[in-house]
Amino acid sequence: MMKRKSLSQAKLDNLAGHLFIAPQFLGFLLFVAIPILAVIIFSFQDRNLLTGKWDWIGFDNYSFMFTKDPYFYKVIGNSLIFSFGLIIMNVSLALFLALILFQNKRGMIFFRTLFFSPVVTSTVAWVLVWSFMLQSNQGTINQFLKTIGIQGPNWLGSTQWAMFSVIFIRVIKNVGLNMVILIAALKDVPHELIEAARVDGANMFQCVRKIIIPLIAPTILLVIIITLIGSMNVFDHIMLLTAGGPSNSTLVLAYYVYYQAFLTNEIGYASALAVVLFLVVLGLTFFQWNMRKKWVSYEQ
Amino acid sequence: MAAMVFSACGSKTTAANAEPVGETTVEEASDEPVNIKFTLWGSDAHIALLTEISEEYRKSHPNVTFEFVSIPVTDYVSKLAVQLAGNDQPDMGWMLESPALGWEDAGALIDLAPYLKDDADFNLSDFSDSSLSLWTQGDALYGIPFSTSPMFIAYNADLFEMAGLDTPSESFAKGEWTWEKFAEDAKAITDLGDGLIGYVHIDEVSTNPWRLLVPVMQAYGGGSWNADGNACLMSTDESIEAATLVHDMMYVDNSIVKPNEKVDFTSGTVGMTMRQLSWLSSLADVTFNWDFAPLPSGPAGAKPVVGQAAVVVFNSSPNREVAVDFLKFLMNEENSAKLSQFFPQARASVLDAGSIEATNPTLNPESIQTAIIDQIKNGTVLPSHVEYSKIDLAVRAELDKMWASDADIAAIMDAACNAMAPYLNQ
Repeated sequence: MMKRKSLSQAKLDNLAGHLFIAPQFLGFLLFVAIPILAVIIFSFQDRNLLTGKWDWIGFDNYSFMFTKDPYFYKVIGNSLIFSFGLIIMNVSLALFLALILFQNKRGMIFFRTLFFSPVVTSTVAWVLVWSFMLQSNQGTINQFLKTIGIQGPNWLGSTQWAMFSVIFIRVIKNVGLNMVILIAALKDVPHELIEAARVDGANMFQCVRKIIIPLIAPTILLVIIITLIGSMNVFDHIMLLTAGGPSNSTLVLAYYVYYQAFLTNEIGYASALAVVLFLVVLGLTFFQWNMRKKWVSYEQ
Repeated sequence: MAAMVFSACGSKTTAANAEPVGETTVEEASDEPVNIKFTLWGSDAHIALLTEISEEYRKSHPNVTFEFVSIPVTDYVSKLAVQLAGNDQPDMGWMLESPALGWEDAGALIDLAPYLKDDADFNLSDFSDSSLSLWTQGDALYGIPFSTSPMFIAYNADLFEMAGLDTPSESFAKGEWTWEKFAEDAKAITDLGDGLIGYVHIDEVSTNPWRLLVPVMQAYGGGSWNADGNACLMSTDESIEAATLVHDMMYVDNSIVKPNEKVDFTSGTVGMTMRQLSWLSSLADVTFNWDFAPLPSGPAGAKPVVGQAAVVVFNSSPNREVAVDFLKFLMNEENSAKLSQFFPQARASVLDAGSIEATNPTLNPESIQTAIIDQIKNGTVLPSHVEYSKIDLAVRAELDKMWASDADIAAIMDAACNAMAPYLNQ
């Protein structure tokens, strides 16, 4: 009798648990799983957004992408440059700021807030301000450079500088988030380890390299993966700053998907590009995750 | 997206060419309630006028209601395409000029000719052939232009006086208003120093080079592509000469605001800008004297360029008969006159300076006549092509190289033609 009662209680608990996750699961199904499935189905179709016409064409979209599309390899190259540039700049700067600002000293809260505030700023407003600052003649940056005798370039209008400028603007916008995550990790580093190392004669640089970075390596990996996924999906900064130019030097995969889907209405081909984008992000993330044994020597 | 997903699993159809299900004719609908969804990119004032006209229409068609949906112009075409794919399409709406041919070719718009050609009340012959050319394919007619607005040069008269120059209006009156004179004037204003500059373009030069280059190239006898859309004209000597003039102004005279520079005409530091009628209201509060003149002419003569937008009915509308009936009402002579307070009209019977002057009393009547009315009659619309988006991406990548002081213009224009060739030949 007791056993039956407890079983029924278990079933009730089980049901309650399923009911609790049901809204989230339904949301995931409707707004994530089914659209992803649809994108995969579309990628095997010659589908035009405007006409509504579609035909099954097998792997023709993928074949065109890899053999005939004049932009595809340029776009992949740009996306990789953007991602690696962003990861290196963002994670290095976030780590540097976190190492300075994780200590509970006077004024640290102010600087943490200062560096975090761009994260909660509207991207449109952020980009607008930077596009004014980066003007070639009137921009604040070049006006400043002029005062020290340097003729600044046309940051967003030059093929040499446009990609760097977009990366830089995005790094400053989002570095605060990674900084906060790394500060949280640094707070967990046992202080006595640092003190012991200092007693043994290690300088601060050696402490960071030999003790702190290995101990927070799992968090650094997490930050790199989050930044990588975000960087491969970059759209807003490109759309608002350069629209892929000049001379397609900032034409990245996510923007190219938008261009094919909504400017040429080739939704089938855009879906195939989106599938490739998904696989690239998945592949790079999987690679990083598997390399963690080499990079990460300490896991909680 | 969700709407598209569900539609994705439906049967294989040709939505644009499919016969609408449950189509409602005006007669059938006389009792049945019909809601017409009308999309546009206009302001509250535009919607207020359309609402006023629709209320007038409802007096004789009380069963018809209207829903005016405003979409920002930058997203207009893409949002419309998504609505179409998600079976949430409007019945009718405004259509821009640049994607017009693509939409016509896709069969997304209904042919209005059977409804309008023999309708004496509508009087289609009141529209000139040139004003309907973008919307006409053979015998089919896909839109009725509600705005046929010439590009003109707005200028800061105070800066012209300061530089001791004739204003563009005075140069035009003397028959001396050419692109060379335009370049000389821009340089003279720039040479005044103090941060003044001769010319700022209507929009970012690097993201929309067409609107700067096309008027100059056409005045020189060149252009972007031919009327049939199958031959590039950008590498002709005439187009190269025109592009060289623009490039020299930008990098030798420094008299055009360069790409990615933010300078506003309303600041009072700019001599000239290329604009249209609807923009002039933004000059209401400026403290300097201003006026506007037609586009300069070139070796090939005066080649006015007009921006155009039309009212269309979407092929997938289940209420197409009612939508067409409202289109006829909206664009009749009386209502076209009402629309002219915002948009210059292509209808000859309402095309007079008085209708624009009445609702824009601060504008110079002589300028309205010379820079707007006279130009509409002879103007050509900006280039459109079935493959416009693909051409734009391909050509822009080449034209971006023009925005450098050491650019080889002839090589760039040649490369632009090569880039657009695959799409022109289709």
